[in-house]
Amino acid sequence: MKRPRRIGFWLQVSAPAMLRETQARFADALLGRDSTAAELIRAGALTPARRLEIYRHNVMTNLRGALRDIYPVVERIVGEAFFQHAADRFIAETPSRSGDLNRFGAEWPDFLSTYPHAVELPYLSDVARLEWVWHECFHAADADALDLARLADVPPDDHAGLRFRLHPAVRLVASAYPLLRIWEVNQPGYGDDVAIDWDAGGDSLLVRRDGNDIAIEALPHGAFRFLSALSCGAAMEPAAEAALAVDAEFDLQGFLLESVQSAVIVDFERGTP
Amino acid sequence: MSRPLHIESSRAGIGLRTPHYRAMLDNPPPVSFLEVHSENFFGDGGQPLRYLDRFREDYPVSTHGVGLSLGSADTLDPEHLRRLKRLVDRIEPTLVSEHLCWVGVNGRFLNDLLPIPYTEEALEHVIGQVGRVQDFLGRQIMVENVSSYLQFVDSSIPEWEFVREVAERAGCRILLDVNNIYVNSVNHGFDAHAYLDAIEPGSVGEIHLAGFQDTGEVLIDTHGSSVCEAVWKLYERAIKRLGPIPTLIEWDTDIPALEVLLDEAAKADRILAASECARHAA
Repeated sequence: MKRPRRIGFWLQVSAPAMLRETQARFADALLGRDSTAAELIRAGALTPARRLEIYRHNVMTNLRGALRDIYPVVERIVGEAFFQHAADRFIAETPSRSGDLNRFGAEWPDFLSTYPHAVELPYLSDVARLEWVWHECFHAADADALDLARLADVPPDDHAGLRFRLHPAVRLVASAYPLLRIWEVNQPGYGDDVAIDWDAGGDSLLVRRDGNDIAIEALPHGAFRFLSALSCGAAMEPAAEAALAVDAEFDLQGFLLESVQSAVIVDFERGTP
Repeated sequence: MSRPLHIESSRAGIGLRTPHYRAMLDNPPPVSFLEVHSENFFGDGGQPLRYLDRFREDYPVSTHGVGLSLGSADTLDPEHLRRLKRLVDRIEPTLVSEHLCWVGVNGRFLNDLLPIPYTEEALEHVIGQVGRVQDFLGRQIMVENVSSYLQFVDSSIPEWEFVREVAERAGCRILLDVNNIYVNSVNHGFDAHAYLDAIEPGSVGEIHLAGFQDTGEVLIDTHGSSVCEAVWKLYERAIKRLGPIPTLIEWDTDIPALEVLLDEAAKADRILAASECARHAA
């Protein structure tokens, strides 16, 4: 009996095997892992190795540039040479996974937290986290503000079970370092007083949209805890209890009103506490 | 109010870049269209899309992708395609283009416009990829010839034939980058005129002009300076052969003041106008 024709075989032939081989070797060579890729390239006036070097330079410039765009404060703190050295190592360890460079660099804060040359800057990865979050807020979805009248219509008995939704462009960042002050003194055009009080303790920061800008502000512990609980899906009552547990001064009504007015809270649904 | 779709082919367009937003809102320049890099507007919302929506009210827009990787052996990234379609549906661009290149393989991206080996195998593959993109977007796209600093030993098809075949057989159009033709003709030692003459009138939907950098070794397509004289000459020849085509001045690094960019666009306008006159006289 004749063997049946295998469709899978045909598909395999039609897949661009040679193209994949060429591209994989070329990509390896640009990341310094294949020294034989030169044989894929015509020589001419320049050697294949030199041509690969031109591409390697372009690729590294693009990827470093993407990190520089997202992490300007980190670069300002460590300087250009340090940044480039760290970026090159990061790029080798954490390849880009998308054709969209805006999605590259999410792992940079984690990388910095274990980067041996940054051990003397333990706050650096927190700065990077704040910058990534800034980047996320910049591109996050829009949302309409919540109409306070809708909230006023909710009978008081149902308040405890309300589940609030935060604006898609809201992030919360906690740090053991005075992160907001570090951020401020490293902004372009900031004045001469760049002193940082390292004993000032940690920061609980709210990052949100403010018109076309991104605003970063320090929150009292209670308010931070409240929003953190809401962002995890907690209902109002348990969220308020968590806030009061760390901050007896927490003013639920006042903060709720403020959060709706600044569009940090943009929606709610009714449920059980 | 309806948003403009028609691009006047007698006037050039410019790339829309953040440093020019303020000046362009205060004093909208008389350019025929604005081009943006698609990926810069792949986010879910926020300032980038808000500005683009605003400019779209007054100008036809062209979305120009740098990351779809049509020439990669990998299948197309569904997430990238989805974001591109979302942008195209929102903005309703007059022109949608991608580069005839690859930017990553085996799921690992280099994020640079890398040249394709011009083989029969790659040609068949790219034609299939372009077809899938057009099916997914529900519209025709344009593919742009890229600059390159090397040629693969395997390449058996001249670049201009590869570009022409893709357009013909995939049913897409060509975004002809005249600067890239010039850069490659110098880097690889071919005749830029022969390249132009191989391109069918009617197959080109847009032309790009930009500046390059001469490193002494090769010409690098930097988009960081004004268009050089030889490229203007080549452009004149292209317009004579192809007729007036929507033309864009690209300037992406060391972005100059808006006026400098508009001066470049005005030069292209004069060449486009001269070709119109020649047509009427003929």
